[in-house]
Amino acid sequence: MENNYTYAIEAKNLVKKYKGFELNIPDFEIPKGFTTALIGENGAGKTTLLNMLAGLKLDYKGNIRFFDTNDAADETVKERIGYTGPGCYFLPQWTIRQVGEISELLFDGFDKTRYEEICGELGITKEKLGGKGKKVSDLSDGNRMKLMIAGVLARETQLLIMDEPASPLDPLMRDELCNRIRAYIEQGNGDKTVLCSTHNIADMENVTDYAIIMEHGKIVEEGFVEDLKEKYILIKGDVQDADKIQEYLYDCNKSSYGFEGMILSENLDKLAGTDISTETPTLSQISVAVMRANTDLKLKR
Amino acid sequence: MNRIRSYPAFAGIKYLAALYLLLPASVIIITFVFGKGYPKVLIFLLAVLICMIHIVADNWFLPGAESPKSNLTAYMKTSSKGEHMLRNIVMTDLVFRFCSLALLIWIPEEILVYAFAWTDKMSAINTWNMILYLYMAVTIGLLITRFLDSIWITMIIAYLISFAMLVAVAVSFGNGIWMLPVLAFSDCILSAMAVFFSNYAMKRSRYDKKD
Repeated sequence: MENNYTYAIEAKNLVKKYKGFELNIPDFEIPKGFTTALIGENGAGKTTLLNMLAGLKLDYKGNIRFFDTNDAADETVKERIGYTGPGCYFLPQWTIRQVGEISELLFDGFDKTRYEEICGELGITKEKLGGKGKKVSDLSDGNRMKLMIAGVLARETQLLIMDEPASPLDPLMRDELCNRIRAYIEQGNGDKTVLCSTHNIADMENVTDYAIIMEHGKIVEEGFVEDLKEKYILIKGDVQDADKIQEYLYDCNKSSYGFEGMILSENLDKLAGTDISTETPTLSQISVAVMRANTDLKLKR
Repeated sequence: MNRIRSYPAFAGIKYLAALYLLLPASVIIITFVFGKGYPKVLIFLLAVLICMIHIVADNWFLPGAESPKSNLTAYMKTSSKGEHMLRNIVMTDLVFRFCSLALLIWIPEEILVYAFAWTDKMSAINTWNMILYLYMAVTIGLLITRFLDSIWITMIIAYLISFAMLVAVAVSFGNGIWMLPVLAFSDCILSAMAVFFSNYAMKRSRYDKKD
């Protein structure tokens, strides 16, 4: 891939400390016009990072810039960023209609008609939910997430920061979310960007262009998906061969039928003489391999 | 225009209807039903009832807004207008509350005078004394309950503050006009504190506890 893109987000020397955890990212860049997936196990620091980027947390060190020119402290930046959180950020007593009214007051680029259309398309209208005003507290986790998604998609934004948007959604809605993210990027003609964190990359893989894998508050791998799929190769073979090439395996799963492992492409020539088959891995498989290689957890293989 | 729209949009129909329709209607009905017997006692008891309802009704407005664990203002933090809007909403709410409390004391008195020929009506000083104490009690109640995230504790605090207000009004009954500016000044300070703490809570939530 040619290096001719600019960055929706550029951050340097990001540091934030909690008790027993430190987020430390020297360089962080999100390419403009693409969908970036932020992948990591629980406690990797994804939500911490997204909260810093969305301006919800200010107690960090480092410098964040948006859209090539705007400092994070610039108030106009928030108007161009849509954020959805891991939990619902609306007051429980608000109704769906109230969310629209308040959003219209909070954001200049909010289109209430579009919001109502999207709520209808996602099935979160009072008619479809059983009548009455339907308060946020009456909605399921999935419907609350749909409400947040409707709220950000009804705004004129250039960047969507979404923290675990797919987690509470059913499979149909996950697919719909991917379609809407794709449509958002296409509408922007290279000017709109999506950054979303996810536990389950398999659901978001078909819409992800760029991936960042985090562990223990650090970025351990990143790149365009096509480049990552060239960098890593999935190999399969007999168990006895696994022992021979253990040192080159990035990750390995053994069973009585054989082994399956991840290897860097540059080490493929070192497997000469072994009876293995190769496959292009999925982003999900790459993520798991990288996370396994970097995790502290004692996982069974 | 946004300042005018933001208060009803944020407060919601249930909260506005309870405080500014149902409560006044209930006060008027109670006055007509029970006003003939002990009008002065009725005014005092109405003050207690109004105070309790105003504090508890905040559960539909900004429940636990100043609690360290509150996620209440999370959505508003995503907007550059969030802090300004929250400040406007809290200030507008206090102004509406004050006007409402004044009317809720003044209207029953007028009903008692004109419908039941009440001759022992409170002097204007004592009426304003009661209104200012009532506003003080409500504002103190809101300041305390917005740090908590429990409707039950809110109800207990509303109960205690209402009766404390009753005692304060009774003890200060008959004081001269000198008490009014003291109460008015105290109410202004409490109002400023209510606005300050609501915004402070939003600002504080942007910073996690240090190690």
